[in-house]
Amino acid sequence: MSAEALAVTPARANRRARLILGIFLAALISWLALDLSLSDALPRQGGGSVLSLFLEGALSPATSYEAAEVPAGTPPLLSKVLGAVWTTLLFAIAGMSLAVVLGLIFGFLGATSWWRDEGSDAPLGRGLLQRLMPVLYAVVRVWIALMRSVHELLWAILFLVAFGLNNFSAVIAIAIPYGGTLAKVFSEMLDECPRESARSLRAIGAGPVQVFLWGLLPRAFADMSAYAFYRFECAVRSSAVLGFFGYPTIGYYLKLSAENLHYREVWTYLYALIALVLIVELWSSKLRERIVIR
Amino acid sequence: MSAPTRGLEFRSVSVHYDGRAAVTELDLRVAPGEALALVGPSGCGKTTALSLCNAMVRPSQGAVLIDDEDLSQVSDSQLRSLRARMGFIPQDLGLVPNLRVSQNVLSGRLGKQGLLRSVAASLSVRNAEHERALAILDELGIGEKLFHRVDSLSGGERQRVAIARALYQEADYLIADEPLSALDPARARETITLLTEVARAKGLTLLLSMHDIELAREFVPRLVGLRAGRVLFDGPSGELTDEALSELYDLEEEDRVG
Repeated sequence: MSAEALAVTPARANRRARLILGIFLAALISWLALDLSLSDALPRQGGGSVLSLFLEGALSPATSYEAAEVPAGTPPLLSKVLGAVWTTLLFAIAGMSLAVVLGLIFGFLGATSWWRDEGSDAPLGRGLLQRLMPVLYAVVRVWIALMRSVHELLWAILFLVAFGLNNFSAVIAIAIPYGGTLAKVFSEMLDECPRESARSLRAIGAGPVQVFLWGLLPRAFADMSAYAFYRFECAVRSSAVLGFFGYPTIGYYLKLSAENLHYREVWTYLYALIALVLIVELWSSKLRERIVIR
Repeated sequence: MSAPTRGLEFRSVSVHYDGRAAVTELDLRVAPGEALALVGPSGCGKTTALSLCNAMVRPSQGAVLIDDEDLSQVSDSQLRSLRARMGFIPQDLGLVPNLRVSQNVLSGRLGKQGLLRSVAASLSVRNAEHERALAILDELGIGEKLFHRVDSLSGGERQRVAIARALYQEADYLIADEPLSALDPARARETITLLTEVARAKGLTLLLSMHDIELAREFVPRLVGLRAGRVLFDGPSGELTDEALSELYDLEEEDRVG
């Protein structure tokens, strides 16, 4: 690159100034349009006492039900909490297991290296298929974008309507956007990894799919699995929040307790969720260490 | 019809990258079992010439033939089986650094296996395959590294893993692009000895590119000097004269031609 190409020209400085101004304006407009005022951040009338009640709960989370009367045969609160933690984890695992499969399939198909053949002027065959290639690739990319452009809570609403409140609707509500995100990131990781091993396998007669599986996938695998573990942590949180729609995860019980103004129970569930997320995080960072640095 | 000519043949091959000539009207015949080194300054077309042998680079003009088969006329599956006969060690070695030596060596068989068979084979590696890989690595003096990760090995050891992969492939040709460039003088001498001996012992056709002219003269029987993509001389290394050599590396001269 020549010195002129590197120099900050007036046009380039101008563009930068416009960009900064634009970002500033966007922020300003959004605050004005929403009529945000910092005084709204203060508790309303009577809100102060509720807030302090809520915060008190943080110091003394419930170990038994706050309600005066509990129907006979109700399990103790703590076993209910444990059950909710367990279900939350199950939904996250089930959702992720499907998401990883989707992520691998569409991540492969969404990688340019899947469609481009090293060392051949006829990528993946000749004729019609070759001409369709750019179209197929574009379709896959759009499909991936669709999967992840809708949040899991919105997918959950859709599937609730379609399938009713059953476990499967929650699992695919997680699996689709997570599968899309995994696919996008997997395809980028595959495209970014060095290509010399792929080329050298192509040179000794390996087929395009073999080149992909032996030359590219192993190089991206450590990053891909580290990212999948990170997404699993997110899936645990998503699974908890899906409870707000009635699935038996932590969110469901948390919402019930909050609606009954049982703030100490709310805190019990919150602490349980935090503990779950921390444990999953610790476990996955241990695993990541083993995979990445060996 | 005459009987097919065995071996490798370049027929007036030219390659242009974006209008710039990398090799020009290259004519070359290599008989089976022969050992040959392409020599010359960097940028003279050595790598391009080697990449033409397995059609990783296609000629802009002319033809490359293996046993009388024009590489640009064959079908994809024929090209794959021709490539499977060509062991290839690129300058960067092309190993997967975060896999074990065994996995890298075993990937040499990929050209001879269909997709399903290769997937099945790597899901359950048979002992016999590890034993064969081990035997090859033993021959090359790094048997104890079989289950080490490639990125834990030294440069010289990696070079041997790449050679082992080519031997595991059971190819007829062994093509190595600048196999000595990343090695210190002692390792370089060791490696060129290894390459030439292995090729002789297994009856492989050996095609190298080298910039160390002294080692090439000492170990490789036939030298082809390339300059600015053209053959400057081609003959037994004993007959290489000092004049030819100085012409090969005379930069001033190259400027005039290039």
